[in-house]
Amino acid sequence: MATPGKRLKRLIAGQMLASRGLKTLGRPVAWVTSGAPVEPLLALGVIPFYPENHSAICAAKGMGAPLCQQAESMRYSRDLCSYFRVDLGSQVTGQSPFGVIPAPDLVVASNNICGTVQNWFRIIAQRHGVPFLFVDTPYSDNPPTRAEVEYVQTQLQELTQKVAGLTGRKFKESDLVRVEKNSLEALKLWAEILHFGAEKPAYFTSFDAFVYMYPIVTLRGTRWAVWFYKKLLQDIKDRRRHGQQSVPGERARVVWDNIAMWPVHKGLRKFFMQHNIALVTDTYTDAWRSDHLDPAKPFESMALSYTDIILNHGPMFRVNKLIAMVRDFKADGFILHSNRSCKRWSLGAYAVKKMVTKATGVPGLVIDGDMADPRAVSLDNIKHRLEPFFEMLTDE
Amino acid sequence: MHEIFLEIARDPIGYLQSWAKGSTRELALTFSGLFPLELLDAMGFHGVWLPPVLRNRYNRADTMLQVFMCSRARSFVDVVAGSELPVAAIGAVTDCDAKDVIPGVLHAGGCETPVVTLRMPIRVDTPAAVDFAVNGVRHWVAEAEHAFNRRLDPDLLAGACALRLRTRQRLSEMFQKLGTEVDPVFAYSAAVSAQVMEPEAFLHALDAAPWPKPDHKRRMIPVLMSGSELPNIKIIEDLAGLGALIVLDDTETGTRAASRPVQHPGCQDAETPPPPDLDGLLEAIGAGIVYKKHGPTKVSPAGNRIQGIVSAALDRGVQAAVLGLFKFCDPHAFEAPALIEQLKMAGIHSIVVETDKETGLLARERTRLQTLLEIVE
Ligand code: SF4
Ligand code: SF4
Repeated sequence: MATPGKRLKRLIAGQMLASRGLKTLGRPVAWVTSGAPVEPLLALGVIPFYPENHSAICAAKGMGAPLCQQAESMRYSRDLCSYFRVDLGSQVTGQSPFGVIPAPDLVVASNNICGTVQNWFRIIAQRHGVPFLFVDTPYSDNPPTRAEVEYVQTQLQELTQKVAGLTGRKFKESDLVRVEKNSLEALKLWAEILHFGAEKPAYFTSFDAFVYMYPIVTLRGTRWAVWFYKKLLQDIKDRRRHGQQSVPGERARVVWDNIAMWPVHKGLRKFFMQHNIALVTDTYTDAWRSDHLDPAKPFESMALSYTDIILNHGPMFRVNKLIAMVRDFKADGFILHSNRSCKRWSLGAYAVKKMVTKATGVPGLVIDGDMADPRAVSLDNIKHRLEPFFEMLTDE
Repeated sequence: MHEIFLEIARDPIGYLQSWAKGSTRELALTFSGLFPLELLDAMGFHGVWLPPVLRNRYNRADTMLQVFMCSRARSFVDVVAGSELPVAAIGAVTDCDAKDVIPGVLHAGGCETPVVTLRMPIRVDTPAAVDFAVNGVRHWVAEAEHAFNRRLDPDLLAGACALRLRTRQRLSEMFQKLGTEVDPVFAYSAAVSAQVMEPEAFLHALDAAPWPKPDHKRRMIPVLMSGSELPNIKIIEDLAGLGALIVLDDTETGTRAASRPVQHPGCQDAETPPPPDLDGLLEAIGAGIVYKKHGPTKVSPAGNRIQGIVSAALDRGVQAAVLGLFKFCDPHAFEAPALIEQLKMAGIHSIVVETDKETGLLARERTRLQTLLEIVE
């Protein structure tokens, strides 16, 4: 029987093959941000491609440094998001673990994850000479107001019409409803899977989630994602039945905030295992746990769903999220990845740490790193920081 | 009379500290040129757009924030968290990632000063964005009245709108004459002072004497100054010292913030404002934030901004461009390569001056700038 890892590899290969094949048959391709409202695009038969996710895979495969350097040689500052620099480097050099990437016919971005993407995706659109469509999702420290949801909803309706016009494809609401049902099903399965980290001992960890999040990001809205997560859920249930916990001899449980550190992902995972520490949940993969989508109100619920996400809220939202995670996942500590590439996610980490510790009584640690530029992450330094932290957590 | 502008630009905190000692009005701060100070004035505060306050260490901010936040934002957090000024209220505004997180960082860091955020669109190219901005202003007023425990006075608002608009119009006139009839050090000092002084006092000082002219006896190279906010007046002084004459501005400190309109009959005459029309004024304020000239933090029709800068530079005979960037300022760092490229295609060479903690130009930047000026001469 195929392992989840093998299934994922086949899924990615199949997705890329299908994208390239359909593109040659005339199907339009949209390069989109990870938080872009993809459902209307899928309903119109547009094939989405996710540069951020692609950058993550490039980084995990050790391609981060040369691709970043390529972007820097074009005068883009080393202080800019490394996903952007990796992506630009890949576009310019044509290097990618995926082989040939289907070129975009349009670009769709939304600022619900950060301000970086509006600049980055505009650069993509300009390089390829294709339209740049943008959905403005107002940032707020509070839950979205009625006016904010309406503002986004209007734009989603306009976006749908524009994409239909640009691609010459006919929009049917029934298609959107079908796609949203797929998204919702995958989101629910994903939430159920993530919850296995809450069991003590854990049967699923964030190190698994970082890898298996690929379909929820890039195949949301399709039956492929639903298929993958049904199988994965079954695998985890089987493992639990056989008592195969994720971290044998689990000694302590930790919550992670921010994006994974792809350049040192494997080494970090090994280090956690060696110390019998389970990374039980994280704010990164949890971002795709939203339950706002409602196919009965396709545009309105989509507007709320794509506005009310963690990165579109301020540090206090993160504080409350982490407090809830520490409690629900019975964590002994938490780690904040101070990711110099992702300012939206990282800024304020020291203040966040203090507040979470004050509210939960569990210790936290801020570690410096980067999600894709290996020159800004040192596994050795991180280990030196983690070692005493782990000792403190496991000290009986 | 004009000397006060340079003093304020060099030490805005010192000026505000002594202002606070002699005033019964309370101080309310913002950190962005997008924020309409007239809203704070109309609640009885003295509204101040605090300029960047660069320093070698941001001791208080560093306990809450990482070093990879621009020092424009870090310095604001540092001043507020260090209680360097008696700040009664803060009007925040959504814009770039750094500005977006400031309120949450202050809150999580235990700051007790009430902060209310004005939620603005990032798009500035649709009627829906205008509606959203108008709604944002109304929403802000309701939230602020509650959080600041004060009413916004419609009479005060009409007067404040008129005074603040007059201030911006005068600054716009001045920046039109930048480098030709107005000395750049004076213009930027005045612009920074307008952020800090009470508008009546500012307008009085501005018109107390003729505006100083640039030194036309020296051979100077006409340059464009582009960037977010002016990090410090010392940069402008250093540029002048090296023989660069700023003839065109593209900064928030200069022309961009000054371009914000408030299209309402109630704002046209500061001396005799017509009867207050609160709803109409709030609508005009919200729309004006969308209509103003923006930097790269906003999404507007692609390419327009850069093309506009290049053609203005050609019109003004610019020979070199200075891109004054804060380190870790993503919006401007993203824009810089394309701006440099387009300027180059128009025959204008650029130099990037990156500021983090230091005021003025670093030795290596001076050398590079000197070389550039010699090349274009
Ligand atoms: S800044 Fe952060 S959220 Fe934005 S693209 Fe980069 S990693 Fe993603
Ligand atoms: S625009 Fe740039 S300099 Fe200004 S606050 Fe934002 S990041 Fe900082």
